Amino acid sequence: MSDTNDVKPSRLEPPPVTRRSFLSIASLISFLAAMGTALAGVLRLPKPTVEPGPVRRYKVGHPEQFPVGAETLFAEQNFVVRRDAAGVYAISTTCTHLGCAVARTAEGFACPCHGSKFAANGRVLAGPAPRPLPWLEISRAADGQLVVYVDREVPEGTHFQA
Amino acid sequence: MKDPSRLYRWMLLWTSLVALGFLLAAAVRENLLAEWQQRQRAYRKLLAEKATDARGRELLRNFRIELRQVSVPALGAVDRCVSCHVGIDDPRMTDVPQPYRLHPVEILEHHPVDRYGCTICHQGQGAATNFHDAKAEDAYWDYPLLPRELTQATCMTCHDVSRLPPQDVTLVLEGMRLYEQKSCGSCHKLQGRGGALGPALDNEGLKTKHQLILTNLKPPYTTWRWHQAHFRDPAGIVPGSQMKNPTVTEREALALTAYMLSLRQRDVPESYLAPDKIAQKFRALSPQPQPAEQLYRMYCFACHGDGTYGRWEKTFQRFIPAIRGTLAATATREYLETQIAQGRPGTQMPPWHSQAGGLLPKEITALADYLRASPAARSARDLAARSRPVARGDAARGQMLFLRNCAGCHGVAGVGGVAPELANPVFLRAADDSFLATTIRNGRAATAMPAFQRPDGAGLSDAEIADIIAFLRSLESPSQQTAQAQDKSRAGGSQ
Repeated sequence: MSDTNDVKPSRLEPPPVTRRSFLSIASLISFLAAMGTALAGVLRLPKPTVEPGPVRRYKVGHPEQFPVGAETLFAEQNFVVRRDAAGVYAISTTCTHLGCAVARTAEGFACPCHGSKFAANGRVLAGPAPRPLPWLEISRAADGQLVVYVDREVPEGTHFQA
Repeated sequence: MKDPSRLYRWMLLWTSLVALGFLLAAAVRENLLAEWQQRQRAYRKLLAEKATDARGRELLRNFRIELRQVSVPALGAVDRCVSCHVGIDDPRMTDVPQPYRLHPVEILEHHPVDRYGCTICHQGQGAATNFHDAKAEDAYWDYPLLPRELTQATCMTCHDVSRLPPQDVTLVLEGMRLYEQKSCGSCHKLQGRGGALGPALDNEGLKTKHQLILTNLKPPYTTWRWHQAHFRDPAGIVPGSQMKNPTVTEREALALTAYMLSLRQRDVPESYLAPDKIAQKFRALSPQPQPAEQLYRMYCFACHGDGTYGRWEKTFQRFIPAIRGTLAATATREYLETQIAQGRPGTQMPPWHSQAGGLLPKEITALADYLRASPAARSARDLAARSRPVARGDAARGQMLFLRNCAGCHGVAGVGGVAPELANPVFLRAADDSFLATTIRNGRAATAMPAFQRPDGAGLSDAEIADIIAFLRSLESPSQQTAQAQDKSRAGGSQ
């Protein structure tokens, strides 16, 4: 420090910011900011913008193809589409226990692997299945066809007004 | 007194600020200005313009700006084309500019984007997020985006072209027709049938530009630009090419290019193949005999023309014989069959038997008959009828006569020059003495082979011709001579 400081500054007064210490502070702050931005960029890397796998989103047809009371099974994609007075809804037919494809029975669905039984609305009736068959999100594509998103669940009872 | 660390503080400040500036610019570029984001923002404006009813408003409400992609593991496709081509399934998007326009509906109906992706038909770099990279013409990408008029070529990955609506594949069909008309099969093989002078073309459509000579082509380097230029002038694109100029118009070159691109042996899962494609592949396993006239047109015409005239071929530096005139009239059917089936080793005439050129025995017989049935051959037949038995000649005398009369074209000791090689095992085995005598005596009409005996007897005498034949026979290898002698003695013994 320089030797010109004869008068001792009061403790209440903040020490004057000299040009030199301003330079130090500014360079430190800009350095930290640059490192922080770079870090933010790096931290973003592990999260992909798009998932690499196929999007499990299926166009199932126009709403007219699903008359009230009817049920259509999409065996390859593993869900059923039904329509009742309230609207259209889709239920997954993949067992929530270990992922077997469940079969349609008189009372609802039955899993051939470990004997889980589900009601027609997906609730578990018997067996090792931990939770009901999920209801799937439905929306409408631009060309008017219904789209079922197998990866997006909706609460039981959600109907799509087609 | 100057603080020595001051310089370093300034340096830290400036480098940090510059680095921060670059980082922020990159962040803005990546997150706000990416081409696909700008496209989707523009598309949202279009959606807002068209949101006149409840459906339109619902679509606008559900529209999210996000990177979209179609991933089809079965085809190895991860296609982000739909990130910019957002409106391909919206029937209202007919009057908007690309990339927002509706995709032709009937094609998408049968080929849902989610199942097929985009690049299986259009090629290009599917994972790109801007158009320049997606087009991939100047990048190291094997299959750049096909121009619109050539996209029909990729239908043949899964379809039999003859079962598609002809109006959708006009170029490929025209190219197929030209392929036959220009007799490309004379030199090129398709499904094992064709000549051997040029490369087989079964997988031509999947060739990459790195397999082609691009030196004489201007960029952008794509296989279809190479094909188009090459069809117009083969030797101008590939120096020293033996390929005949097919003399086609720009349009015909484009059609042939489309046909070449449609020849693709891409391995796609069976479930993607149209039933007619499977039937086509099955049919190819057991080819059916084709009519001789068509065979001649496809596999002989490029070199022999209509077969009534011989001609000098500059590229080959030899005469190509007239095969439907005197030859067909004087030669036996067996001789012609052997020549077609075995070819003429040492010349450009390849063998055509089923293991080589892929012609069935029945087809070769039919071709031989077709040659013999030509009008020129019929009119020359009376010459053949006048053939006389050939006496046994003297090979030493024959050699002198051969050197004097024949060696100029056929080469010393018959090794061939501008005219065919006579010391050729296939030829000598197939040609009988009376055929040789008739040919020497009468020449070969409409070729460079003159008659060596005039009707009034001037020229070579019958005895001299017999001497020449004896000399020709001596050119066969000893083993063949023994075999032939055995054949003769067996034939003599049975008489």
